[in-house]
Amino acid sequence: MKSYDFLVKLLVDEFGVDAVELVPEASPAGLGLDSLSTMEMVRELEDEFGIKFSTEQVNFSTLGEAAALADELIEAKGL
Amino acid sequence: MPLRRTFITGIGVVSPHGDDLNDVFDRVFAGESSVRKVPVEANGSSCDMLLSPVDFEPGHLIPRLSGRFMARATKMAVVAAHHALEGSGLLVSGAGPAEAGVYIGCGLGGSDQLQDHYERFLADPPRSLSVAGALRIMPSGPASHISMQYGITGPTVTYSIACVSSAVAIGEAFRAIRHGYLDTALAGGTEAQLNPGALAGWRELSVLASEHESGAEASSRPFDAQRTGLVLGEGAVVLVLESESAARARGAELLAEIVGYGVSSDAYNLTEPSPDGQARAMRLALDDASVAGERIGYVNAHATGTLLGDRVEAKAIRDTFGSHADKLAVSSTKSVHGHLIGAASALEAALTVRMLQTGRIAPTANLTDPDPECDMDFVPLVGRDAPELEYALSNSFAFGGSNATLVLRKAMAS
Repeated sequence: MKSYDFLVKLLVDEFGVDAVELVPEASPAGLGLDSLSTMEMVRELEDEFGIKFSTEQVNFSTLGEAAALADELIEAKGL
Repeated sequence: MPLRRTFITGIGVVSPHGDDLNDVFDRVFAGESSVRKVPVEANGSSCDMLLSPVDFEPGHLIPRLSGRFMARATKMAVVAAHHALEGSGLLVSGAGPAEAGVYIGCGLGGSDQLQDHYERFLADPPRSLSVAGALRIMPSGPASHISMQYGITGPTVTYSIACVSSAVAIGEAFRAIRHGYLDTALAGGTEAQLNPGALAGWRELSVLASEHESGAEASSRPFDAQRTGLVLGEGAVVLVLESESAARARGAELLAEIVGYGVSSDAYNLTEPSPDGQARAMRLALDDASVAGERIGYVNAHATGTLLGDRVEAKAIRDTFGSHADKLAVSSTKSVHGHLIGAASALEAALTVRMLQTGRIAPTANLTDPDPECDMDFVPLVGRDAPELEYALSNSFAFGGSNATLVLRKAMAS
């Protein structure tokens, strides 16, 4: 779950989200992120790991889901 | 509806001299320059440029999340708006007056973000672009973010008219209040274009000052024979304007009154100013204020320190005021804070408010060798007491031939 750890650090340091709210079940909207902020979060994730979310994959519901998708893409990239 | 009086009840400043207006004015009055040599790096090399930068740290006033979508000019504007609202007493639980308007001038918008965007896009290979790059770049960002951050739901408008941007923003807000469309407005300007790409453009225009033999601080020299050009600065200034009835109803402190606004176009040349167009803006402003020219005690000149600009403005002031021009005090505070472009008029209006409040006229610093073609009382070097000062003009003129003048009056008892 290295992408989840990255997201936690990103959201705390760069997006100003309170660390105590960051659990895998948290939704972007629940953390105060609108659609634009969520797109920004995904772009940061993509840039960090050199991956690309498809349009469908951007429609994740929780942070944990986003991290799992990212980990899959990272793994696929390594193959 | 009869015309309504309009007062300034709050001023927020983010300037090269700091963010406390009283302190900023004292330093300007003392002739203390904020101009210095700043290393500018581009294309792998570095050169020093004469600039008047802001030591800016928004701190807690801008939430990290919304700050991700702001250019530097926007952040400065939001902080200036915060200080203005706070000072006026209109900031309640973090919110401003919901029915107010936001009128902001900005010359180049998020030029720092534009530069970053192009650097990424044109890199070989191209680098990842920001999702929100276009939103950070747009010149209307400052006004929009002020509206969103402080819950202000009236008109949110942006004027991008080079160096008259914030004079027009203030003037149009004044008109909206005067004619009954609004009770309250935040009006001012912001500019942050001290980035390598924008600076390179300015350098090619050959209008920037070179360093004076006395040092960087002495390099902005309006009306002086040794002038070599203008010094670019940055910052943001926001005024709270209120109708008399709204201000008095809540017992607000009245800092000064806006009594007139004139705006004109030269329709002549992109960079060469016209005394006729400038004089027309001043006359329109005086007519708008229903104030005779003889009652004006001070003119805050646009004078940037370019030979043609200074001389044309001096002529325009003479053409406007006739023999009274010999009794006027005229100064250019750009001699110490440089040219803030989209924020210039707002900063100069704010300083003029302080002059009316304190009865002290700030000098034209560095004016040791007056240009004989500009023969007027430019308050050289040393500020002066003017306890009788009641009316003042603030001039702003722009590339493209746009001219705007505000008439300010000392806040009177009734």
